[in-house]
Parts: sequence; structure tokens; C-alpha cells
Amino acid sequence: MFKEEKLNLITLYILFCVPFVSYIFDEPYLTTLTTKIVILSIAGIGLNFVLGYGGLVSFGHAAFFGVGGYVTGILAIHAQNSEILFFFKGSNQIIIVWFISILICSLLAFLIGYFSLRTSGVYFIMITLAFAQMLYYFSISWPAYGGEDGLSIYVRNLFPLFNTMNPMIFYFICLAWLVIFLSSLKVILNSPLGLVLKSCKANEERVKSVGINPFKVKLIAFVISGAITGLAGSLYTDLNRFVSPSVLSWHMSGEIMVLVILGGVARLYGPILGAVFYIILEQTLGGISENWQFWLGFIIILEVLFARAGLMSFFLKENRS
Amino acid sequence: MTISLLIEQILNGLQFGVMLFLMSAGLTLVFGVMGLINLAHGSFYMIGAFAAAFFAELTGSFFIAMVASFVAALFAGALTEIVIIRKIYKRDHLDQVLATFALILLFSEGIRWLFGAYPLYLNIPNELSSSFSLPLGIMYSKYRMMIIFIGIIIAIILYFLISKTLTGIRIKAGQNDREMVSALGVDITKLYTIVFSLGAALAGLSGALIGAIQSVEVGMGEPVLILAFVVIVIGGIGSIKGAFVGALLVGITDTMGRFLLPSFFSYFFDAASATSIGSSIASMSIYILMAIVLIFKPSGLYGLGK
Amino acid sequence: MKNSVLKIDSLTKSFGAVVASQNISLELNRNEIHALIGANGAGKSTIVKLITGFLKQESGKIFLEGKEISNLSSEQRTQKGIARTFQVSSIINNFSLIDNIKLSLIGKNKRSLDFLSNLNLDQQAYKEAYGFLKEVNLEDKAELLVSSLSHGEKRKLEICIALSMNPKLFLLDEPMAGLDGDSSNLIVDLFKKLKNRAPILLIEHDMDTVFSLADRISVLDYGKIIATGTVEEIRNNQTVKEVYLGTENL
Repeated sequence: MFKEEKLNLITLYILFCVPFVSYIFDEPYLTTLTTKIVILSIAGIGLNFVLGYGGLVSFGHAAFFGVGGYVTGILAIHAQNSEILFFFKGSNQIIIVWFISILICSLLAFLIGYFSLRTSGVYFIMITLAFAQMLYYFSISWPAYGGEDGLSIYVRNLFPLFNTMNPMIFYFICLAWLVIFLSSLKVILNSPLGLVLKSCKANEERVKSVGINPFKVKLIAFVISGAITGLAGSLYTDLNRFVSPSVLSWHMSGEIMVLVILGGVARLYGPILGAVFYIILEQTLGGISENWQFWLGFIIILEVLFARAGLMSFFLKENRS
Repeated sequence: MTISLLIEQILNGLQFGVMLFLMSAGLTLVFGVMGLINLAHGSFYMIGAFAAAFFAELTGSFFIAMVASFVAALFAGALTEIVIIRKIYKRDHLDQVLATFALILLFSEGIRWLFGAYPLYLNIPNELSSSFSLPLGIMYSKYRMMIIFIGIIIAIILYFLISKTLTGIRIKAGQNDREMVSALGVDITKLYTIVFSLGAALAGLSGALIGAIQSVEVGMGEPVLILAFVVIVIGGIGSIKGAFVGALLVGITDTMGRFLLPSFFSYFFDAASATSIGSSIASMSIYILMAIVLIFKPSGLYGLGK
Repeated sequence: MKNSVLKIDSLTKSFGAVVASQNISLELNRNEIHALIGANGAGKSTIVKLITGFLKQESGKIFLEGKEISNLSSEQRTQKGIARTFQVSSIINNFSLIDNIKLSLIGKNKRSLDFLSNLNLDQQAYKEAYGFLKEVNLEDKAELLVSSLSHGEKRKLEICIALSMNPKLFLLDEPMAGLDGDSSNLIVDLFKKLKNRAPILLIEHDMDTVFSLADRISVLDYGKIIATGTVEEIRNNQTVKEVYLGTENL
């Protein structure tokens, strides 16, 4: 799909240029804002893998975003205060933090997926939502890490040689992850598992009738998806130097889903467009009225009723099916 | 821990369960009959509560406030069904999730714009604000007792409505075979509007009833909605009986969990830790219950296996 | 019995009060086409689901080449060698033809958990899939989307998918449904090709095809098998005639 590839490259190019533009115009806020866009894109790409390509409507991906965020926050706090956590002193080395976040989110995705993927349709939607809620309430009631008030960390976790507190540097770190995930997913989608996953979305009975067990494939996909969204959560905590239960809320799950859909499901770069659109809305409408989400709701309904294929299709002016 | 405290908590669990039933009945019917997953159901709960608070303030009558909550939510449900919901019955679940999620945003911000960001107050009427004595020296809130009764009465009414009236039979038939019912000449459009509005009205009523015990604020409906989802998953989508059993199970498990677990953990930890560990695990208890049910019965206890 | 590829022994399945399948017993031997015929509603699709594992029987057993498969999942049964086609086509419309075949090859070669190899650059997978498409004369449409195919070509593709599984038996579920005369003939030719690979259990409604192709026929009526035999035996069977009197011309 030559046209789509062109649009993808243009998107990457623009993203690459943003910090330079913001430097020239002396608007560092622009870089920070775009970092948020990139992080939300990563979260959305994780979800899009199972939702767009696999047809699994997970309404609980905030579980992974939030756990990635909390793991990062907790490790940093322990390193900050030099308290012992499970035999070691926490960490503020970002690479270690990333590794642990991905590990724990993958494990969590395996657990949640193991139960949820036994169901399908509406049950699946409700169950993924319920599990995320469970974690949300747990995070509010567990007192050690701030409860409802959340957790603040002083400085971003440390990356070798570079100063992560510099907005431009942190931005490129996040952008690097975006590119890593985009490339990895491209590989995975072109693999046998990728073809099976797409087939599960189209017709699961067909998959079984060629001798494939859909459960195992969906579970692996779900774990990969959870790991990606989880890492986004980790970056989010470092960006804001703050994490609170709201990253585990159903509203967060809804937001991630909305930006995936707005951008266009089953388009690899769709979530990026969706995140851009969402943040632009938040910044412009949000500046006008604190009830801006009313208009977001309105736009979503219009989109569902009339422009179902999403922003990418709109830009590519392709058939809407 | 005394017996009377235990019984009081069981009654609280019943009251919670009964209120959850009012929420879940509508949700499960809408899914069973129309195949629609509706995230905006929590918004009707909120609308009912706000309507009640508004009319209680206006008229001073709690009774009128309750009626107003039912009617307001009924009306909101009907309007929503006619304008938007109708257009998405045939869409896939993802579209329905999105559209109804958008409705939550619309309703929440709409109410916030109308009433402001601060919670409203709805007071328990004076006649019901005291407790009355039960055997074993238990004093239980009259108001909560009333909620339990209302819930049971509505459950009975629903039962008769579904199994004995013509509309009810059409609803049941619609759950099994939508096309057939329509082919038989039943006005499906009207039937769907009735089912949807009825569900919304029940949600509104439960919002109003609870609004007097907790606060009336924007976003109050969503946590309850998610609990209703857990209830339906446990009880089985499409089954009113499942919704009733599931609601009571969830209500009692949650209440007893919060009550007993901290005490349980105090045998092993100090008081402060026991409370935090206990209440944290208690907050997860119903989800663990849901996971257990799903292992043995993936379609819920009374699920129609759709 | 060494000759028996599929043996169904007293399968029973009810849905509430309706007994959809009652004591169904059937055998498929090597080198034969065994047709299962019956009116709509007689229970054919229930039997297909029972054999392929999409429904669980209440009683009775199923054997594949002598080994019991009654408790295996449907994908396990396919792995053991049952290849089925679907009455209502289940090929994936927005995939290309070759991708549809690649999918069944992934199943056959047990590669479904491989998420690192590039399937698009895999020459061997392509060759294998292309080869099967060639067997049904669809190879020049390999890269086209299934949605561009005619109904008859889709039917051929279904059979191609079954072929690619190198199964021990073919379960063809009303493969002729909705086809006109010419397309039907093409499919019938394909059956001969299939028969050379593995025996066929043919679920069919179209009497003419059945009588011209089948080696043996079993007749299903209201969930029960009322007769099994060669074409001649069935033609002359009194019970069968009574059941079909007035509805079919034997």
C-alpha cells in the first residue's frame, strides 16, 4: 500500500522535526506536548495490535498503562528513599526500569488474557474492563504509594550519557521507542502469527478448521500488546514525574481506545494520528471550555455514525468500508 | 464482632445487592433483547439521582423526587434510544462501545454544565431517617430497609412483567430470536424503545435511592455500571434471574469482604496494616469471584450462551 | 478394521427436548465417497458439528483410523486429519487467495506461534500454497482478493483449502450449494481428484450428484439414519422411498 507508506513516512518526519521547530520558536512546551502525543501513540499502538488486527475489544488496557506507570513510580521512589523493595533498593536507571515494567506488564497481560480470552464478544469487553477496575480500586486503597493522591518523583529516571530532564532528549527517547515498536509490529504482522491473528478477527471458526488453536495465538498477541502499552505507561510516569490511580481508570482505557479508533483501526500508524487529533482537541477545545469532553463525545458519535474508517482513511481518501 | 453487627452487614450487603439488581436488570435485558452493549447506562443512574435532588429541593417531597428520578431517566432513555441507539443496533460491539462511551462524555459534561461541578445533596426523608429495632437488638436504618423492600418488589414486578404479560413474552421471544419476533408483526422498534427506557428508568431510580445515602455527583454512575457488568458476567447475559442472583452475590461478597477481611488480617498483622491489606483485597474480592465463576461457567451462572 | 477411516458409533445429541441426532452410526472406508443425504432440518449440520468437534455429543464415540477422537477439540481433530469445507463459505474475503492457503499451511505445519519469520518473503510457503492453487486452476488469481471471485471460484477455493491440509479424510458440507450447472461440473471433477487423496464424507442435498458420484449412501431422517447402502440398494429401499415419496423422484 504505497500511499499509506508515504503517509507513514511523512508522519515520522514531522514527529522528528517537532523539537527543532519548538527550539527555533522557543516553545519548549510544544516538545513536552508532542512527547505526550508520542507516548499515547505507543499506548494506542499496543492496543491496536489486538483490537484492530485481532478484533479483541479490550476495554481494560489502562491496566497495563497504569501498571507500567506504577512500577516505574514505585521503583523510583524506593531508589529515592533508599528503601528496600523485594530485596533490592528500587532503581532509577531507566533501562532497568523499562525492563522490569515490560516484564511485569507482560506477566499481567498473560494472567488477564488467560482468563479473559476464554470468553468472547461482550463478555470479553466487560471482563477486561472489570480487571482494570480491580487494579484501579486496589491502587486507591493501598496506602503505601500515595493512594488517590498519587506518587511524585523528583527527577526522571537516568539514561546513560544523556540528561533525561532535557525535554528534547526525553522526547527522542520516546520517539525511539515508537519507532522500535512500529518496526517490531510490522515484523510480527507479517509473520505466521500475524496472519493467524488477522484471521481470528475475520473468522475464528475458519482458524480452528485448519487445525490452529486460536487461544494460544490470541494470548501471545495479548501479552505483546500489554507489554507495549505498559512501556508507554512507564514513559508517561517519567514524563510527568507523577503517577496516580487515574492512569488505571476506565476513562483512561476509553481514551486509548478512542484514539485508536479515531486514527483508524488496523492501520499501523493510525494511533499516531488519533493521538495527534485527540491532543489537539484537548488543547484547543479545552482552552475554550472545561466541558470540552462534551464536544469530544459529540465528535466520536459523528465518527461512529458517519466516518467509521478513521482519520487515516480520510487522508488516504480510500474506500470506507 | 457481634452477631448483630454481622447481621447488619448482611443486610447492607442485601441492600447493595438489590440496588445493583436495579442497575443490572436493565443492562442485561438490553443486551439480551437488542444485543447492545451500553456503557451509558451509568449516565441514567446519574440522571435519576440529579433529577431526584433537583425535585426534592424544588418540592420538598422525597416521594415526588423518586417519581421524578424514574420519569426523568425514562425520558432520557427514550430520547437516547430514538436519536442514537437505534442507529447502532446492527453495528459491531466496538462501535457500540465507542458510541456509548461518547454518550457518557455527553451526559457527564452536560450535567456538569447544568448543575456545576459540586455534588448536590439529597436527604433521606425524616420519616425514614431513624432506625428501627429488629430481633437480637439490631438497629437497622429504616431507609436502607425500604431500599431492600423496593428492590424485592421491583424484582417481583419484573418477574410478572416478563413471564405473564404480552409485552414480557415478546421481550423473552425477542431475546431468543429477534428476526422471528419482527417477522411475526410485533413492532420491534417500539419494543426496543420500551425495553431501553425501562432499563434506564430502573437505573435512574436506583441512582436516586442511593443518592440519599451517598452523594449526588457527576461520574457517580460509572463505578456502579462496572459493578453491574460484573453482576451480569456472573449471572449470565440476558438473564434477569442471573442478574438477581449475581447482584446479591456481588453485594454480599463485597460488603462482607470489606467487613471481614480487615478483621481477618488483624490476626496476622498490626491493626493499621490489617486494615489496608484487608480493604485492598476486599476491593478486589468481587473480581476474584467473577474470575472463579468464569473458570467453571464461561457464560455465567444462567447465561444464554450468546 | 483397517479399511475404516472414520467410524461414528451411536452418536446422540439433543437440544433441550429436541433430539437432533439419535444413535447415529456411520462408517467411511478407504477409497470411497460416502454421501449423507437428508432433507433440510434432518440433522445434517448437527452431525457435521459433532464430527468436527464444534458440538459435544451426549453419548457415542468417534474414531479416526481406529483411534478415538470423541473428546478432542476441533483444531485437534483437524490436526489428526479431518479436513472440512463449510456450507456457508468461511474463506476470508479480504485476504488474497494465496493468503487463505498460507493460513491452512500454517496450521498444517504448526507454525501458528511463530511471530518472527516473514511470511511475505517466505519462498517455500509461497511455492507450497501456489502449488495447491494450481491443482484447482486458480493459480493465476493467487494475489487477488477473494471478494473478486465468483461464487463457483470461491467453492473451488474452499476445496483447495481442504486439499492443502493433506488430510486423512474430506468432510464436504454441501459443496454444491448455490452453483449453476457448469460450476457444478467443475466441482464434481475436483471430487475425483480429492478421492484419489483421501476418502470423502459428502453431506449433500443435490440428489443427482449423489447418485452419480457416491459409492455408498446413508439417509438421514429426523435425526436418525434410516438406511445405508450402495446407490442401487438405496434406490430400491422401501423405507427411503416412503420417506421421500412425493418430495423427491428416485
